[in-house]
Amino acid sequence: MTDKGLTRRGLFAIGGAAIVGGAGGYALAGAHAQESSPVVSQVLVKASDNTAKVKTPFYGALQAGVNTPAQVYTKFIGINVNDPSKDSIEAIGRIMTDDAARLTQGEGALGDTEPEIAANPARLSITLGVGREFIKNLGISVPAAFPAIPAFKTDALDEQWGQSDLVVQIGSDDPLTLSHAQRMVTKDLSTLTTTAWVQSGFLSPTPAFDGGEASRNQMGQVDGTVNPNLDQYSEVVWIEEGSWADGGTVLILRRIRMLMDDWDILDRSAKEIVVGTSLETGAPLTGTKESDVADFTELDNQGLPVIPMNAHIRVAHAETTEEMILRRPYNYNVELTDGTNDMGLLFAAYTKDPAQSFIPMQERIAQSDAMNKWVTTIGSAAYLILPGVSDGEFLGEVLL
Amino acid sequence: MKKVVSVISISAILFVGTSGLVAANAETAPEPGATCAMGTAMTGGIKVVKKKTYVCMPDGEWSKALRKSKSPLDTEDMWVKSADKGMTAAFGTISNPTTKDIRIIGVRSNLFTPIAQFHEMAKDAGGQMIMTEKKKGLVIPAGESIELKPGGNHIMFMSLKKPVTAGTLVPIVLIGSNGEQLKFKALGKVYAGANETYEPSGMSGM
Repeated sequence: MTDKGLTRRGLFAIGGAAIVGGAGGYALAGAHAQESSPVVSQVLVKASDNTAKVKTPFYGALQAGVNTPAQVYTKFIGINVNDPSKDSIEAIGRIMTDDAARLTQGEGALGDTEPEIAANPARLSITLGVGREFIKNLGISVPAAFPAIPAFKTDALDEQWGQSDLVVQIGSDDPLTLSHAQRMVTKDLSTLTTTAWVQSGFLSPTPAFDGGEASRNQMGQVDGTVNPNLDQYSEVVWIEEGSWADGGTVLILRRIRMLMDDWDILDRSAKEIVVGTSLETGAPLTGTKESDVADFTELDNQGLPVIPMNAHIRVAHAETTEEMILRRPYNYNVELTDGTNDMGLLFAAYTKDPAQSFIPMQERIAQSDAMNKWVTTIGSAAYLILPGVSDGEFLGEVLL
Repeated sequence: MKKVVSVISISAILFVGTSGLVAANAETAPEPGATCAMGTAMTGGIKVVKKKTYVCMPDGEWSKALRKSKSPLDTEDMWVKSADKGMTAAFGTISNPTTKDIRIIGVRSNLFTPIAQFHEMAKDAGGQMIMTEKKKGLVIPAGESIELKPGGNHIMFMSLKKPVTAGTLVPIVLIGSNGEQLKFKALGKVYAGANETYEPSGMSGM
């Protein structure tokens, strides 16, 4: 079925900007000023479609899992390499590549003890990224596209979710498939690596609006995501600098806790002013529907900006293509032993040039975003998502 | 020694072990049909003398001089259980696209001293699955495939010279009865199973 169309997640991830006027806040600002055209994309699947048998291609110049329409479930697995060396990266790359090439196509991995579970890939993708220090320690040049990502002044980073040598990003619409792929990969790497953390995320499989594409996050915001159009991906996402990293991208993964109890205290109009969008419609406060473009110049009858100067969508807004990022955020919700929940976002940003896009945006957010009172970034890590491979090659071969 | 009461699988197991037993004679071409059983279950082995290959066949006799040729067999999905020492095994699918049966009589790999033996899975008196020697080698029938998998057919390696680590490619060569050499690489993978009991025939005195 892969030939007919686009999941709603596809629109979301691939062509988001057109669809999403909605604010969705911290993860997805800047929506309204980005011009974009309707999305034409690979896999068009209605939300109601069963994607069990849908396969996401594995081989190609670009790794899947970035421009892949966001699957309903994800796991980011931070792993450290026991013996950081080129031998290790080759072994890890060979195993990851072999596992991913099979599992994503609905086949058991080599030595798979539960191959039946692999039969429903449900758009499974398995993606490998490497950390900056790890690259340096291998003695190879760090791509210009991959600067150190600083901590920002509003961050309250917990090392529990900090930088690891590698990240394995797995996504699927089927949580059992995802669990099996996670088990298979971590088992296969178990003699070579140690898992530092696992961050699990989910999305609503149902759009916020009939016919719309964006879903709501746990604060009720239409988490539409402002994203580049397909034809902007090469300008926004994929590295092209004449280095081994060409065809890769930089992933910045931030774990953003939502302070739900504090958020509950605000009334609805205050919540909307903080973000700059309507909770109900997802529209910017200067518009009436989700797809409306924000007008940051509009003033109210007292001469004040309708979208406040510190509203999230204004602060996070990208003025130029160079400032844009690809947003692929997920919800997280962890049940704590005291009966409360730790809720928030796994904010996954992908960019070819964080120095021009992500870092200045995050600095503006840290400086003045009204939303900062209700969200706290507790984890941050960045990885170079490796270039894709063709059959016969393995992920990480470019590092050797 | 346990008694084999029923053969429940026709699976042949290629058995590779280590020993200096064969290497001792490396310079002299063996007489075809001469015994190479070495008085133990560790039959098998390979000599290369003047570019001719001699395989100590599963029946305990040296093969004729074999001229090396390329095997028409195909392999797919080959992997080896990773292990630090001792025994391990390789799995995958071997297919024979030709119209003639092909018999594999030997195995060569840098990780092991080449000693080959063929076994089949069987239950002992207690009902436990064990392996016993099979004298004919591993036959891949014309036009068919044989799947090597944990609990079934497999290529077994004994006494690793060095560890098989996960993610490494292990070069292996299978030698056919007419000297056809099938080269392939098998990916090292972590695997907790495939711990079949090995019960060599004729080892009761050991």
